[in-house]
Amino acid sequence: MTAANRIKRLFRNLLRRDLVEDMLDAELRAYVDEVTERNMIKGMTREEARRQALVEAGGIEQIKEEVRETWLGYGIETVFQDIRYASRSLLRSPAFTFIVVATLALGIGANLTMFSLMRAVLWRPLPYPEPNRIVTIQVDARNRPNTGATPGEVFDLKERSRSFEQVSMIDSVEANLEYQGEMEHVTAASVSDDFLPLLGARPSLGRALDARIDRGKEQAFAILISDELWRRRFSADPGIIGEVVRINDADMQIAGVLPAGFRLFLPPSVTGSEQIDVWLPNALSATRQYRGIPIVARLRPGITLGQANAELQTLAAQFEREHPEFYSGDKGWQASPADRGRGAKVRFTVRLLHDDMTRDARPALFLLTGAVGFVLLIACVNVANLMLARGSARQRELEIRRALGAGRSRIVRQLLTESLMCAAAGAAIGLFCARFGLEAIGHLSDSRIPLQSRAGMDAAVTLFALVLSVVTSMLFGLLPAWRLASGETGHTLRAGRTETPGAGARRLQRALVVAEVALSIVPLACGGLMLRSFVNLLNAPLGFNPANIVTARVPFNIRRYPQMEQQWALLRAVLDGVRALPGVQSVSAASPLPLAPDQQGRRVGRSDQPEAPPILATQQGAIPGYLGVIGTPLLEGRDFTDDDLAGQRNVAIIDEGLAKRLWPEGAIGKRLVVYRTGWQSDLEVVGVTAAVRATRVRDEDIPHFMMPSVDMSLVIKTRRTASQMAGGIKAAVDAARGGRAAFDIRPMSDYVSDSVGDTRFIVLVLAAFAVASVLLAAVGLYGTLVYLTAQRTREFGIRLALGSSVKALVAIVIRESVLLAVVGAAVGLVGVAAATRAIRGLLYGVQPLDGVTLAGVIGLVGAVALGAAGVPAWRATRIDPQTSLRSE
Amino acid sequence: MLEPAIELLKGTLDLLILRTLVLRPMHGSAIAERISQVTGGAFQVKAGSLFPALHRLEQEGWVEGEWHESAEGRRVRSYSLTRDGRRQLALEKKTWMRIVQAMDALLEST
Repeated sequence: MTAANRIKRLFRNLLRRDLVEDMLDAELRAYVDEVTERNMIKGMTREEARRQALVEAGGIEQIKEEVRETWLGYGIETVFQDIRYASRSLLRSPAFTFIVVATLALGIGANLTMFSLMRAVLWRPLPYPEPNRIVTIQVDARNRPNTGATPGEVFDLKERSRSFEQVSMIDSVEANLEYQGEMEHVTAASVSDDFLPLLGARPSLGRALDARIDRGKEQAFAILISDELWRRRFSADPGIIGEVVRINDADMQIAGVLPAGFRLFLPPSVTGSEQIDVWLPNALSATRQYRGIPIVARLRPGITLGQANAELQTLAAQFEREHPEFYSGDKGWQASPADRGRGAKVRFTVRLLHDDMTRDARPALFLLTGAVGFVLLIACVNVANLMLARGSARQRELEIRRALGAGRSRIVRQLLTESLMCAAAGAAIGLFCARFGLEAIGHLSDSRIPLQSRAGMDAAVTLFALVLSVVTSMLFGLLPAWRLASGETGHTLRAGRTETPGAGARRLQRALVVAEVALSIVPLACGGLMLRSFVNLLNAPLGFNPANIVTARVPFNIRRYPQMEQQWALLRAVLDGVRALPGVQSVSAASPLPLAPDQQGRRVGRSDQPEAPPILATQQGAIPGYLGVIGTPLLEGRDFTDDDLAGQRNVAIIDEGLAKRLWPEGAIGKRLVVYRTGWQSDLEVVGVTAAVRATRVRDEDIPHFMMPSVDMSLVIKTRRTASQMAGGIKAAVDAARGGRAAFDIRPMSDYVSDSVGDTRFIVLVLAAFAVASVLLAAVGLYGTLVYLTAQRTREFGIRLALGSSVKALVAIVIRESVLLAVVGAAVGLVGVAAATRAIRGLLYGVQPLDGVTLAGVIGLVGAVALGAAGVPAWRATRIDPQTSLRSE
Repeated sequence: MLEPAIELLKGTLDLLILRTLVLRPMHGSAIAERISQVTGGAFQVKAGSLFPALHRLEQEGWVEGEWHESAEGRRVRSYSLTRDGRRQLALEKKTWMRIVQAMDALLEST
């Protein structure tokens, strides 16, 4: 048949339905009449003949239905029928529909949120050309991971390696922009010439940087600026190209403007900001004196990570042969005598940029994704349970439909249509929930998760919502539909009696509730462990008191104040200005601030044991009085004095951790050696403080020491907030005329809270998911108990009539509930054991199988079980044996 | 009517109907009667399979239904073979013969 004929027929079937139906009816009637007549000829009476004819035909309605199934467009037709019927049936029980849709919206919404986040962070490629060839090279030197490269290494890698098309470097720098008399701290990076081309960024205005002409021995002559800075400070004036601005007190020409929306996605250890305003040219040099340079490279096409890593291994060996003094000698970066003659001292590891960026965030993301998976599963089980319960009440309706010619597959389809409609409604609402979820996560984490800024609602999320609605509707709809359509109680039409549901149906419902409880305690236990970790982190002894401290950073202009005395005078002027501000109790300075991102790691040891392997410690410079302001207790010895500072004396204050490791017998007066690049300093220990955590709140075993130094990160003890203080601080810094603007004016507690931000994020999100899953399980338990109790009204009535006490009935209900919960919890504990082991790395100060947490979880589940049994138990006490038996 | 003496092979019914309609257009019960007669009562086609099959063939475009006055003066829907239907019949015949030959070969093999 031609396509045109087919379409004509399809339209006739769909649009002239009445006509087609009439014809079928007439055709079958004619058939029955004919057979009737034939039977009469055989000698039957009219009635008998007709009856025989109908019996032989075997149910006119069934035949009609079967014929209809052969018609073109039957599928479309019945889908519409199913949808009409489903919406009518769902609207008839709004409470049921509401609970189902809300449950699904919760489950699907949570999953869409995580999907969007995972896609932004892990699955969407980076917005650079051929991102799967962009790699970072991690450098480990002197047994310390991630030290960064020396300029000489970058230079040699670029020259010699055959695995890379480009090898470039980036260094984050502090930049102070001065233009038309206005000073401003801007984000900046100093990059080699091929860095921006490697990421596919070409200036939309002006030209690219060329270190050969744009950079002198000491400083840069030209810069690129971001589109955002160009619009903000230069009113998007194209004539700005070639204009001179002052960066860190040097004249520099604006060479070009980068395109709008260019973002720098690098590992958090390289740069904290995705948006760099000023790009400075950086020339490669051959020095190996200092380290700390991050490398970004592009693999040649067809080269694998393994090949590149193998080649770097060879190059590392070459470097060590050619420059033994820097790698196995006592020259170069933080060399100590103990390093002399030791084996391989440098290792390069190539990783895809994208993998390297997201490495730290992965465990948390997987944990949360797992948790939302559980929430959705619980939601599905819950809805399946509700559908089963409702289905039992609908047995009669389904029985009638079956009697009217609906086949089993047709009924299953009908029920699945209802499921699908619920899921679709849930997904639609879930999309909205996910939007708000993403916003909430954005507020919570403040870009602690790399690439999170890319998360949003788009076509892929919508598509996933669609997929989820289909998958979930199958998950929760198939079992009840199959169960109901099989018409276990085939005799419901005959008797008007409410049957006690078959043991099979009850067993299924109980199994579902057990599954629900089991599923819900996994996220609950994980959430509990994370919560305990978070509380432990909050209560961890930091070694200082962040309360009521406002901090501000004021960089030095070394060019204008080369001498320490000048710097000291300037700092005193700033301190005096700030001290005079209203509400300031005391003020001091140090750098870097504890828990700030720019910590300085140093290798230290005992002067009298140069051969002992050095210890990694954090170094901080401070002026006298800093300890008092920040609240670090001095356990032994003394604070720095003005003389220490002015005389540049070689003294140090170490923390308890370092003191215990180096001089358990007492540290005061001992000599500490600090290995630096190319030289080492020998310091007298004058004081011991409580242990200070400087890198992260989590890191309890990295010791800390301080040296007297003029550094300009202000710590201000005040009851006022950072925003109240900001204006005064800026004015005081400007008044001292140091030539730099104050920035990062924030409370000290921000640094602490940033340091535990990743854990707080997990705790809050996981808590939301855990509460949701427990709520769902509670609703499931409650609903099932109510239903089972209602179904057993007659049985309870008989029990009462036979002399059972009301108390005994309540006990039955409660026992049922507690039993279900206990079995569920027991099954769930297996999952808990597996899940909590997997998140071990995220925990702090708590074991994966923490007794308190597990007891809490089980206690909560028990309480939920008792609570859920309340109403059904109460109903059981209200059963009147007479009415319950008479209603039959 | 009696139980069909022989279980109809799936798809065989289409062949039977198409073949029956080669002679002349017929309506439902006439087709059933004709099949029963020709096969000596071996095949008894019930209304429950006959009408769905007829409608399916019509949807495929192999037969065409038209309203006619029957011999008894009753309005009946009689079906005639279309050109597509004849082609289909030839095709199914060929398939059937292949099955028969194959079965023969199998059953007669020693």
